[in-house]
Amino acid sequence: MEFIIKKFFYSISLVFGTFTLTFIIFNLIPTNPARIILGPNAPQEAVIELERKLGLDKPLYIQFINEFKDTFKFKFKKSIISEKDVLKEVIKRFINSFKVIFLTLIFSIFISYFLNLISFYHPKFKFIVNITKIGIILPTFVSSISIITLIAIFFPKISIRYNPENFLTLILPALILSFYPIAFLTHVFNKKINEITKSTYFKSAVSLGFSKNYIFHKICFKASLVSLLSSLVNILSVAFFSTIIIEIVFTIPGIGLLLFDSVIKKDFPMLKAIVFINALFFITINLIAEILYSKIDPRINYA
Amino acid sequence: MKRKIIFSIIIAVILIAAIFFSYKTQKTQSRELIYALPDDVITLDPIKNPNIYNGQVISQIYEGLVKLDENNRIVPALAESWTTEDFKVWKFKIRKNVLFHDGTKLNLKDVLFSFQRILSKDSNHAWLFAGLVKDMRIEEPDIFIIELNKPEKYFLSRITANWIAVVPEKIKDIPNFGTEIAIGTGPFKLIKKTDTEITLIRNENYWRKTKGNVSTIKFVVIKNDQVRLSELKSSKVNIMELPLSLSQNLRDLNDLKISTFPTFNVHFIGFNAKELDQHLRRAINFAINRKEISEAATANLGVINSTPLPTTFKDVKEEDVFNLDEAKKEISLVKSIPKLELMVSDKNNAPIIAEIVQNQLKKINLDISIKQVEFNTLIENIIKGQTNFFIAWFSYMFSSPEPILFDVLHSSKIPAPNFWKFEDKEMDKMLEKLSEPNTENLIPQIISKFQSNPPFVPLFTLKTALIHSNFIKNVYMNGHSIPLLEEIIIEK
Repeated sequence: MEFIIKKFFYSISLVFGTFTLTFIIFNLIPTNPARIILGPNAPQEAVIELERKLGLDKPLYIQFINEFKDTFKFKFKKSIISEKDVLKEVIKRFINSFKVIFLTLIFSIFISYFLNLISFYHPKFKFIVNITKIGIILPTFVSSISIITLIAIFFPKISIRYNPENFLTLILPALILSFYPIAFLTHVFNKKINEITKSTYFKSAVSLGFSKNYIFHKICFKASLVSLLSSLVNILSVAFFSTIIIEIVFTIPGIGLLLFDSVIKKDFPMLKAIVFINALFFITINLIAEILYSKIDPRINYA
Repeated sequence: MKRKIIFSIIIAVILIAAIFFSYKTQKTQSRELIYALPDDVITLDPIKNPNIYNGQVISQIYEGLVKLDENNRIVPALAESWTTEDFKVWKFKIRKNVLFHDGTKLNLKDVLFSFQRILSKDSNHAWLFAGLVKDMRIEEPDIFIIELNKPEKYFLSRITANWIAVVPEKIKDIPNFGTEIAIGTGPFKLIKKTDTEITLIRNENYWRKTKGNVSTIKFVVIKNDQVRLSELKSSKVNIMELPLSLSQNLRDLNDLKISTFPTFNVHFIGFNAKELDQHLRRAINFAINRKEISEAATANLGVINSTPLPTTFKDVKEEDVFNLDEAKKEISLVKSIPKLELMVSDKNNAPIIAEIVQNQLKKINLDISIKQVEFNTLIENIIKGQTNFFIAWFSYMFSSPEPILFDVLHSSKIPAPNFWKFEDKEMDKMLEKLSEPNTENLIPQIISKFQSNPPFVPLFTLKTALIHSNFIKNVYMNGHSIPLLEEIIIEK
């Protein structure tokens, strides 16, 4: 319990640290949101007027204090570009992204599990595990664009656009996004299996005549669970980062696209909400993972 | 074990089949037009219109008093006719029997309310009329009057864009107007809006008969240029604007057609006229070979231009002042040549143009370096005076030459849109005279004065290219980059 409380306060300080950093970096970008809204042709008086309306004419430290106060009260302004309720919008977009990421995680877990299963039973198929290494080198933007080009060449009648009414159109983006996680998980799992197969308890299990099925699931899989879980948490953050590219390519209205737009259009209220929700999400996930570690492997004890 | 492998193979097959089916089931209706946009549609409230892509959607739903036809002539829209005696008091006769999309009848109060709203603080277009409008009133039964502070013969060109629109007065009580609800009088009405898709259907009660037969328009947002084009090639999209980045290497356009339209814009190399010597600016003006730039960087979509006005206007000639001998003569008159750094954005092939300019200026022994920044950063740098040499462009909101000249050259417009901090008392006087009647011959004088002391070097006016399926006929776009989708005929 004490551990959780400690962790909680640590997390809160992390959120505010992130907030401060975002504010500083954001104000280093030499652009003016009022100018972006009105366009380059608008006269300076109109821009100054709009700045006043948006509260951008005050000195930076006052803006910072105001933002800090609001955040502490959990008060979020409206987006200065679209005038939407930022919290609602961010949560909506977050759910869209999470759909893709959830599919990605399912794909990567299942595929890496099957690849390892196959190579465990039939060592001659081990080369498949090595082929997946490509996923580690291949950046998401390269794989997504090349797959789209291939589809356009070989299946010109197929539409690759994301359709919000059709959940199945998320499969392709999720598959592309899962290249890296598949490679990563497969290797972590494979390395662990290789370690275990060299151990004496593995050899004794084999000599005692346990079935391959039993050995794979009860010995290898169980022993790799902690490292798999920690890599899953890592993958989750990588996947959230890579969705930005996938969302831009496929125009999926998710959190990555929103982040990209709000940075380009200098929509600070929106950006703040995104940073906040993201930080909360990851802190919760990490907390859950750390609690799970000690449940799976009782040797891990944080208290 | 074998069972498991077979099982996993079956799962993989099902997965692939699911992808195929998911995309194949997206059928289209026969007279549905799918228009791909490169950026989000943020709002459907006309006074908030932030950019041209957003404006293209808004323009299908709303109309103003007057508008531009495909030849960029001012034609009546909700105002049946207009009169003015002194260019100061403008009387608009409002059309009768026009219905809004929700069925209510358009009346004079709606028009007054809409214009008050356009001039209010909430509007992004109020600056178009800043200090200009003295009074607005209605005169029953059907006259709407705008009274100006001083006569302005080109006043109509300020209100030709469709986002200077008339909305019903009752939207005051509709909180989600613009985000989910849109009520206008235009040829199409809103059915559904999501983050990436906007569906409009034909307005059966539209006041004017149109040639087109499109029953539904679906605007879809596809941000990646390559994906948008591949969707067009696979006929999942029927029409889109051709981005410059794709214009150079277009191949396999089997069932596709490209239509180009002159629009109101000028791409230019700007200077800080206060910091850079007049002879240096003249030298660069003479040394730039616009034809080469247009061919290499715009796939000939750029119409070469050496005036501040878009070539879209009738009197503006397509001409190049390229003359290396003159350029060398001018550069020899410059006392000390400063270090020049050309600041460009990543948009509209500006980096390619910058490289060509760099090479062309080498011919007059002028070495420049190039710095690339994000578009909004570039604009901010220009306005704050942190760059004295840059490539940018203007898309004009006005549809006549006079206000454009006034905006880019008058000293009261420093720092924007007079990016060059250009001050010339004689020029100011000439520009102020423009609003008076019978000053047609003043424009050529201003242009020649501009060329003798150029605060910026116009390069070209970019034609907007629409790329669309072969079976789509009657594709038109006016100078505001507004596609006239109500006229489109789908032949299938």
